Amino acid sequence: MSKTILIDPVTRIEGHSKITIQLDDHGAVDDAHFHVTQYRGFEKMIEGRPFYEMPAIMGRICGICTVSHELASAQACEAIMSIRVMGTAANLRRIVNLASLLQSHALSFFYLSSPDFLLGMESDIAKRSLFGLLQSHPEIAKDGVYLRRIGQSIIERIAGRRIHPDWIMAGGAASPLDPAVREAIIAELPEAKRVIQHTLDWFKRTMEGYQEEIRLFGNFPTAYLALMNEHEDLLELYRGRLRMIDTSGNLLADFARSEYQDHIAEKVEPWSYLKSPYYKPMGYPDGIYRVGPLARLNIRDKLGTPEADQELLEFKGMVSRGTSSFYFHYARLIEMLFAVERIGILLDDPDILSKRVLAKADANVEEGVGVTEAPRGTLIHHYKVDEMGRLVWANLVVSTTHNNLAMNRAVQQVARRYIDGTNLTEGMLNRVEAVIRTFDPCLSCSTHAQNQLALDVELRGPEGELLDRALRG
Amino acid sequence: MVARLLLPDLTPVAEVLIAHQLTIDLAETITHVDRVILVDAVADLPPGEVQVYVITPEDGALDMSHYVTPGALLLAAEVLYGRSPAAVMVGIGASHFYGEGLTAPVEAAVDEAARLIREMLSD
Repeated sequence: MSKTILIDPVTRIEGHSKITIQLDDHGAVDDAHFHVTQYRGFEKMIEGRPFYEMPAIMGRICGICTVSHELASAQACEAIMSIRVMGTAANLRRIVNLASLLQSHALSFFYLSSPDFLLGMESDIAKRSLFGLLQSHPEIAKDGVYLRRIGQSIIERIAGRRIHPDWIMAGGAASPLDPAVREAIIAELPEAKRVIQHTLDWFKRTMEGYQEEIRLFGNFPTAYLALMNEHEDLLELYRGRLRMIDTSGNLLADFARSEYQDHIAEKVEPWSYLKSPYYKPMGYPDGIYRVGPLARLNIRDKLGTPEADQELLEFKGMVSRGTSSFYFHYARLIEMLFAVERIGILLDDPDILSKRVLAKADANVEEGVGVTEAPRGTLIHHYKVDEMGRLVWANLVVSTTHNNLAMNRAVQQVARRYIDGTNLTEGMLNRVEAVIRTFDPCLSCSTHAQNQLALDVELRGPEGELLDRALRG
Repeated sequence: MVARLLLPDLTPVAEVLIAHQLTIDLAETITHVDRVILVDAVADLPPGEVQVYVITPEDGALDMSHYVTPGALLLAAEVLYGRSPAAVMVGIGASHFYGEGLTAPVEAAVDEAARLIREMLSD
């Protein structure tokens, strides 16, 4: 008799989702799905609004990756205006984007995932939480607070607000950089770098105790997608061309952002509000690919800053072309180091204080695509406008969406190893959730639940009858 | 809105932070002051009514990732840094949360909230 296990909601991620695990007649895992159960509807609600409002409206999609949405949106608008933001405004945007990556990765690593590493996958659910972490490992928790504060304060100092700043505008930025702000940020970077390096050293030692999770947490071949800098060999998070490689590193495609629909298609599955993009030439679902920190490191051999490049070398030596999603955590720390180094380099440029940061234009074409690398991966905003510049159509492919197929396959892999259908334990269920956390999915910023919400596990028979149920929280 | 109103005359005696929501990184920031006054809309007060709440450290929404409750922020400061400041929240009853700007009863209460805060700071 087949049964279904339901984990609802999935905890310590951004947004609402659940996991169902279908068991076969022998109690072994037959199939598993990661369901996104919330609907936002931004693509519809902006219809009829003028294009230049988009960065401010789209930034409201998320309280964590506001900056990423504003940047992708602004770039789509600038394509409609037929302008390209260069020089100082582009570099200021890069700094704010790097600061956003720093605060987002700090949140993901220290607060959402580290309770699993520090307190153990099998530990008491009541203690395996952020509050448990504060009590048991206050120094690590303080490092998390510190790095998130540094990222947030850079955004606030340059863009005016920590969350939902309205500084990024179609055409550039609302204001230039204050020289005193520049000096204040530069003064904080060495300590931020030290804390990240210290965390990296600790995490590399910690990974030795998680060999089974590394082997089984979303460890399978996929393609990888990320932005590439058009001129320099460095980690590009702001704008550029898109590159898709296969699991061995061979180039599959190199394309302009406006051509994304030639290479990526989106499948809609009836069991989730999250679409399932795939690489078109390989078809569905074989065209599975991953985005985000792991993809960004796998797709290149150089990051472009000295200490991060040293870490990348070690990463490549340790994991070759890492196929385990567990390495997302490791990649996040290396990217944080890169972010701090790169912010310093950009601030050292004397032109960063130039006052020319905003260009103005009306709508000159009827369609535009903007692509940036959000902390969680490639983010695409695609708009069409009427002759008055009002939005008539929008398509967003957000980072978590790209990873949907991979997250589902990762859940299946972990469930098959840890769930036997007859003896459910917290450790088993937490591992199923923990593999989702490696991707750091951001399903929305409307509500964000962790341990205190109930975990509802249901065993259901082939006719849907409830056979057993476990609640926690 | 209240914070913007207070910004010009409070800058020498108080630091005004405009925050869309409370986040864990503010735990360290608040340990550097003796007192924190939070200003926020309150859904379950009549529109435009102003009320002052005393905040104490408590394990509330410390399990939320995007935001923490005022009590949870104080608790995080106390656990991590060994101290948390005295804290109150000046709440203004909200009418609804749709549309741009403030509704008439809430806009009328902004001056009252600012007056209360000035009074607290002059103590």
